[in-house]
Amino acid sequence: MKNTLLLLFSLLCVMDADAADQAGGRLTTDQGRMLVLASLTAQQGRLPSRGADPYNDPHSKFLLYTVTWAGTPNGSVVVGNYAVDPRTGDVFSATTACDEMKNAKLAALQRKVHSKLQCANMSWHLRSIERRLPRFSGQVLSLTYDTHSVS
Amino acid sequence: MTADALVAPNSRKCLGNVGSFVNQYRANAQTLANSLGNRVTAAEVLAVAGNESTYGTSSFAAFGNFFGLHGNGRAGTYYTTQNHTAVTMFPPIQGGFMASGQVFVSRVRSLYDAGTRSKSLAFFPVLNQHGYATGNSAYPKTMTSTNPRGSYTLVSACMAGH
Repeated sequence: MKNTLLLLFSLLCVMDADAADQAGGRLTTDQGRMLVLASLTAQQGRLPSRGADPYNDPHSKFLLYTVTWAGTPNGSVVVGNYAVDPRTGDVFSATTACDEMKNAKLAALQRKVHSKLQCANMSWHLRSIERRLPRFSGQVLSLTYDTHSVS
Repeated sequence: MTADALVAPNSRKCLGNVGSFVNQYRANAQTLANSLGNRVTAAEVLAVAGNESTYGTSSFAAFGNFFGLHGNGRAGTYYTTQNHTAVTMFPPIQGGFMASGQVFVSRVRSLYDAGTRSKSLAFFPVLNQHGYATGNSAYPKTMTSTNPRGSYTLVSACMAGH
């Protein structure tokens, strides 16, 4: 029974990990964008025509986004610039030192993302172990089964 | 965001990316501040530009737009990918700061015509009331915050050492 549950969990993880980056446990650009938009305050969330544009900084290990809105003719279109840790889903202001965004909506989304990242990490590690054990090569499922049957 | 930003939240240390930005555009920011008058300082101009452009590293800065300016520009228009907002393009990098800054000044200067400015650091509330950081009423406080350090505090730390 225990083995069956492990097999099912592994299978779910392998399926769920498809949503995460292939490199193993890193957020995709779209996932980071969803987190950034969820981090906005209620007041910012009511601004018309919001969107998050990703951009690259070769010196940064974060996923970076500029959030914009429709803007006013003489004002700024920028709502803010944000940095997302691709391994944890934590969202920070990219312009204020060490200012982490927190709210209930973001926390709920981060919980979902964390479970996907953990699954992706587990799946990646299982595949990595599997590659090093040619005797048990094949599916992740067989590795899980064999490990438990040996112990 | 740099690793420095994560390990030095409260110190007076000048962060590397902010320092590079300040060094590169300090003189231009002083010229723009002089054009604005009303006791606006180069540090305030750099803080606004740094906040809008992530200290010159955002894609808007790559289009020469350091002040989040809306609409068509002399080098064309960039439309954001998700919401198709028109963002002004200028000749990029070094020329872009001054070119976008001059447009920024022309739009903002009139806000002071009625003698709006009466005390130091009034620049951020005035901008906030006229289309900057719309939806974030805490903008003036955030810019000058020391914990966490806002853009003005970060820029000032880098200017203090010169």
